Amino acid sequence: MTSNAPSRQAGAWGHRLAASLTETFWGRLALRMTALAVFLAAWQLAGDDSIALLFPTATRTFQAFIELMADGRLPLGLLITGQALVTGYAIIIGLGVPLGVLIARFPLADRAISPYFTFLVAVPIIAIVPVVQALLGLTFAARVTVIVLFGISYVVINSAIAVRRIKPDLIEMAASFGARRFTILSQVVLPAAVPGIMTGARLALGQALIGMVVAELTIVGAGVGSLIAELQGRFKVAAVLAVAMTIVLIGLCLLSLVEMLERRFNRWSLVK
Amino acid sequence: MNRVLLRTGRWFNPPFLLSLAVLAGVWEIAGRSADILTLPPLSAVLAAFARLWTSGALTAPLLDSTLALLTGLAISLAAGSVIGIGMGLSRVVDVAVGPFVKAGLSAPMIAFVPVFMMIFGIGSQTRIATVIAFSVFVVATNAATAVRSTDPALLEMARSFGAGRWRILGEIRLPAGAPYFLAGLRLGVARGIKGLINGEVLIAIMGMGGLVKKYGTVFSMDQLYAVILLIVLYAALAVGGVTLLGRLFLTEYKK
Repeated sequence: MTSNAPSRQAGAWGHRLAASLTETFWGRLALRMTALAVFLAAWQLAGDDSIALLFPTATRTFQAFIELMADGRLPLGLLITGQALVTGYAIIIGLGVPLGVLIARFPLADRAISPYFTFLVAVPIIAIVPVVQALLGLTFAARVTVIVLFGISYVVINSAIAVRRIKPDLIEMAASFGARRFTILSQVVLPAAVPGIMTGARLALGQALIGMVVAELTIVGAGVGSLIAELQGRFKVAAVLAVAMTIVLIGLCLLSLVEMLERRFNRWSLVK
Repeated sequence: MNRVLLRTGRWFNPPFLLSLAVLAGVWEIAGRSADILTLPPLSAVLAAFARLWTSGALTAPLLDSTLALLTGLAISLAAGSVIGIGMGLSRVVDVAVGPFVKAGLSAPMIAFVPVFMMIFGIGSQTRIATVIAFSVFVVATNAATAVRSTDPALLEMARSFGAGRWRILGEIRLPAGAPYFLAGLRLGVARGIKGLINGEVLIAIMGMGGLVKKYGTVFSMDQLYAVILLIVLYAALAVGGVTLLGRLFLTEYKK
């Protein structure tokens, strides 16, 4: 029994430490920073800088990043690639939301066209990219089309679900007060569906980002795609990794931005 | 089974079949009359599919791709489950690793494919790495949910009967979380296939994705469409198969 006491004491101490690490903001931050540091250290140890071809260390990757930023190639590439993303995402929202509303309000449209969007979700879109390329060539339009194909189904399906979930009482009430079809749509249906639409918008952004990278790598444009191709041709692993990580980090920032908007709208709809 | 029938019912409804028929008709007529290189008539595509299938040109890439997919999924399942179970059991692990798993879940991991290609070379390892990058985080997330979802009353009972941590995990938490594990597996397979095809198209010489690239670059459009058809069927069958197996497993299990 006596040998049990110290271990129990140590256990209690461990519990208190764990609680202070997980229940307070600074504790969580410290824990996450430690995890990040462990990850970076492991990366540093796993890397090998003796030959440029091998998996680079964290420091070599960071150096490559600084170089690419300093000579302006990475910012320029990201700017050009970003244009396709912004255009594609605008089309996804501008076309996807009306299509979703259409599907939700007209059963015939639902039955006739929604299977195609279910299909687009299930299929690896990259397989269709050669077709887009053959039809549109190595153009800006082709890259935007790929982005739209990747993302649009998520907005359509989520908008349709959101509109369908609206309580019929709301629409009935508006109709009994003499509201017209269009008024009901713009004043009742769309505001109530905004949270669901935002969920679709977030999922679609994640897919659009994948589409953006796919478009850049397959339909090589003037943006990040040609930068990666060039660096790959010169066997600069660290530089390619730096570009990839930049894309991923920017993507995560954009995604958390949309997630913030999503949460804001969620609260807004609850208040309503 | 009812739900399966209902879901297939969404596909086998007259308006959809009509719109599909119209689309096929327009495709066939446009392909025949316009004689554009990029749009072969539908009948030519189906003929190419039959020709490729019977000649055996599709069999080797199909098996090759499936083997890579299974390897990648096995690694994802093992690593993802370990990470997820760790997150579900320990709040410390959850706080430390959780944000990174969530980031990996939504980040465009495909950006790493060129890096994989340079490190692993133009070989099977690259696409296996892509499959893992696409599927491991969703498996981990679902494994964490699976372990967390246990009924607290069951846990309390097990503890009061003196069961240890590992026994509780093996005999209560894991069986209770089976539906979530299966959901994770299904999502993992769906994402893994996307990763596989993405990797293969970008590597350009292996498996089904390699065929896309091969026929796409020589503008052999009827064969290209035939391969796309194969990939679509493959993805649908694999995801549908896992869903069905999961449901069968769960109904057996509940008995």
